[in-house]
Amino acid sequence: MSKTILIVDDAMSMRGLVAMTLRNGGYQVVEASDGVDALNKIGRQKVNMVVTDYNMPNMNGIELIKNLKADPQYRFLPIVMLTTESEDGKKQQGQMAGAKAWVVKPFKPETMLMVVKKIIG
Amino acid sequence: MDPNVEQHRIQFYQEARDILDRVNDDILKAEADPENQEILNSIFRGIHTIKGSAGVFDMDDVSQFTHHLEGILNALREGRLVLAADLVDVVLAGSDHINKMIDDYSSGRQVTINDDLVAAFMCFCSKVSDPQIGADTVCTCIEVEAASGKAPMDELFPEELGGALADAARKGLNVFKVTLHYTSEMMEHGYDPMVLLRNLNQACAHYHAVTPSGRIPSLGEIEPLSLYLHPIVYVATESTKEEIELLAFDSSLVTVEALQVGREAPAAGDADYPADTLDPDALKEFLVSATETLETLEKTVISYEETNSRDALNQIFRLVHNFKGDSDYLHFKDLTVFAHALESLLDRLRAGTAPRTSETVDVILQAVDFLKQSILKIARKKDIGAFPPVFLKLKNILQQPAKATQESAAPLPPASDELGRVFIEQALQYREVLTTVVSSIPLDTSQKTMVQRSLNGLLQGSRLLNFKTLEQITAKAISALAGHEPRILVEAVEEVIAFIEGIEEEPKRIGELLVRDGKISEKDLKEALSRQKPLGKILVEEEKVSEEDVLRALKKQDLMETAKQLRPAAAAEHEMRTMRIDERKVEHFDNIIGELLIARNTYEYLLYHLRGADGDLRSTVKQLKDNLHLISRLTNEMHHGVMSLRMIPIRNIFQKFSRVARDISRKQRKLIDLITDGEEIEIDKKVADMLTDPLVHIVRNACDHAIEQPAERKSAGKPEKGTVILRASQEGRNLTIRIIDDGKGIDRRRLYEKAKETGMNIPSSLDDPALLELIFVPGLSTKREVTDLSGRGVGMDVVKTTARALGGTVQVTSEEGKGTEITLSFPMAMGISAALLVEADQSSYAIPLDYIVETLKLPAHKLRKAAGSGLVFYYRGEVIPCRTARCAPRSHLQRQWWGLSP
Repeated sequence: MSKTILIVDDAMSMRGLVAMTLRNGGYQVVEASDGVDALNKIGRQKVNMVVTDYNMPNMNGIELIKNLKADPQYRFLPIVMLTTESEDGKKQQGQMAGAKAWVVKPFKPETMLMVVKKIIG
Repeated sequence: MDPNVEQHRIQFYQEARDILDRVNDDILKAEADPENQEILNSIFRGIHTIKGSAGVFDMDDVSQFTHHLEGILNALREGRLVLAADLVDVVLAGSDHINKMIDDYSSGRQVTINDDLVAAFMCFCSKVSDPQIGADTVCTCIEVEAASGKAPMDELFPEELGGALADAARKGLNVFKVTLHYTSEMMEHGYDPMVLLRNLNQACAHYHAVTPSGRIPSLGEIEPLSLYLHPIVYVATESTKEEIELLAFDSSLVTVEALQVGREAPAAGDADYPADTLDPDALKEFLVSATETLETLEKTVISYEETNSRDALNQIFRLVHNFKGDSDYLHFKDLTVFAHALESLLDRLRAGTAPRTSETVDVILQAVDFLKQSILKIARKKDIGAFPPVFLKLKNILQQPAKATQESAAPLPPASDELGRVFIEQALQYREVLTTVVSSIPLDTSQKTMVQRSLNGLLQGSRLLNFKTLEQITAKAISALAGHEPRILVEAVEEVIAFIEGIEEEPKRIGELLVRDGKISEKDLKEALSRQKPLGKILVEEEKVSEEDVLRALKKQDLMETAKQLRPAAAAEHEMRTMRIDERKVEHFDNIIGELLIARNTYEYLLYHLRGADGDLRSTVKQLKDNLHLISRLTNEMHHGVMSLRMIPIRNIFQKFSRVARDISRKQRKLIDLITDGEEIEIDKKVADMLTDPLVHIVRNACDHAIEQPAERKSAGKPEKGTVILRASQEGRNLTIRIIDDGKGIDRRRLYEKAKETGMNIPSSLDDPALLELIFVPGLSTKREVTDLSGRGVGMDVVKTTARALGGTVQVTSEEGKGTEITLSFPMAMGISAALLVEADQSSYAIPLDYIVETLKLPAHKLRKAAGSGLVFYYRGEVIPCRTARCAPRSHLQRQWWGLSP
């Protein structure tokens, strides 16, 4: 059975692009537009992994990671961060908060798929 | 690029534009509210997102350029930069530039970076690291308009501009070259050239500013209130020369020259119909909303013609104005130009400087027609085509000198909408300045200058709009300022502030305004109100107040209305209460609910089987039962809720008919009154869609054929005005729609003869009511001539088939000379129908409840054999035939016979 990945990003075009890449790789994709939306969606359906942007309104990526890690139900849900080059500091923060990996934008589809495959197969 | 990615890229273009719009709004909000950290964060995030996404889509120049802007915004939100007016200008210019770059990308043009802007950004960045430079010095690199940057003085006509202007001239727009004559001294008197340029931009369909690069001194030498840039603006617009000059508050400040532009072919890749590069969602939304707007518009125009109500006129104006805004946003330039012309006409009507006649209303309706057709064409991705002749009529009316008509013998020049808006914007700005400054008396030099600027600006504005009161108090304040009389100054300024705030309140009625301004007493107001005449007139007659005061108060009311329109908050509240729902979503919802209901029903079946079990299971059974009750209740509620989402009031269909009736009555010179009843009744949208055509046909028939000419009616002893009634009512489970007219009725003889001619089967006598049913036969028409509307014999059969398709009936009654009544009746309930589950002899049957009249239990011996092989039984004095539910008698267990009435 194919795995489901939740992609969180407030830019619709970016979300669409990542979703397309992941679907081409054979995964099911659910989309959320910010941290709050993401938590709602996770609560409603089974998700095997989360790919999240950092820069979003209402709840940014790091806060989302922290929230998920604090919840016993989702503690082991793997999370990947999408960052831009200039956000170097965020990578460290993300890692400390519990992100499993990160992908830098702009990204090559192969890179994204490779990272995802390494984590959930 | 891979076509799938292309789709996301196009999405990004729209997204970026949305973000830039928000950034524009936000930066202005931030200017007014500099302490608000959240806005600054939001602005930063928006630009950051654009930068990131641009990189992903291989738009490196956008990414690079945005990077600089991002740097400034970051410094701003971290408090390292102060949000002064020049910073705001730079951010706005930057955002405009990004917008242009995105436009270039999306239409395949070459992208260029404006190096001057980049230099301006650098300027700020260096300011950050050099805190000695004061916050209110002007950065040298600011451009008034991000034109292609380095237009030298003699290059007057960049090529694309020429093309665009020629195009505009073809469409009948006026092309002007506007030269500004602002000087530095004028800045001190409150004349802000930016206001003019912004308003010019808004008022014109095309706007292009060329800024000759004059000598701008270095940073240290610049004076804050000195003017260094003198742009020349080329515009194409509906407005006349005078109207443009009016925008400047003082016509000596601008020179407006009409330009003769060559008839060149439109530039390739003209962005007039960018329907393909548009976000399909935005386009769809626009089409839906535009269609609604135009329908409401039509009805309101007709109502306005009848009632001459000012409210109706205002609403019409607002609808056209909104339409114009939407089409402008989607870059439908032609449509916007046309809508603007219509809007100007409406504005004139409001101000009383255009004639209020049926011709004018005709012109308006024809214009609305063109807009409707254009929307349809856009939906089919077709060209809108040339403007129809009504456009020339519009322009003719507009070009007549604005002279007042009798209704509004206003001695004061009407405050046109544009002017009012400009004035209010400025007044609010000045009020801010005055409020903050006045609290710190005594004033130092720079504060004095600011106050002087504001007061001068207000003085000019009040003179232009003829607000004598404001003019007086402002003059008082100015002289107090010059004469160093702080106490009087404070008083006067407070009065000014109070005046401006007065305008900002909710628009008040005339009486309240007059009372509030001390022109009349409450008692006078009450007395006058208790009579029917318009308040102002009465008060003037009784000499309680002068006509001038009343007219002034009326103008103030107008201004307050305009101010109210400028405030989005109130409008947003009302709009939130209705929602447009995508039909497909509701259908999907429908399906889910259907399945949910079936799942719920399964419950009952399960329970039935559990009932026989022993004690332990019984409590489970009870719980199951309780749960079932709960689910039942919930699902019923949801069911009703979803069904009602699809319901729309019948009023929506009835709206179309007033237009039909009016058109026919005008064309054929008849007088027809269309009355509707029961408009609030709600029906399912699908049903409404199906009903529209047949109903329109019936109404047309009534107006075209049934209602006679006024002279004929008079001689028949009827009132000259014919009446057509559309009545909707609920009768039992059915919805009934009646169309009743008091026309000449159906000619039975002719119908009989026509039917005989065609050799159909006809009832034998003329009086047989079934004769009238013949009108539903396709191809049968008693009309001797066919008008373009009806008479071909095609329409009425559609009515019958529709009625049947809805599971209903249609009936006709008519009396010659008196009138006709057509009744459509069909069941209202739609959706899941309940069925009775019946088991007989190991077979199951489901019989829809609609078909069941009654169920009875009969002992077998009550059944008798009748003649032939049938079975019957006696029930309530009737003999009822019976059929068994099984093919062959097999079991001898309890037999139950179900009686089915035919």
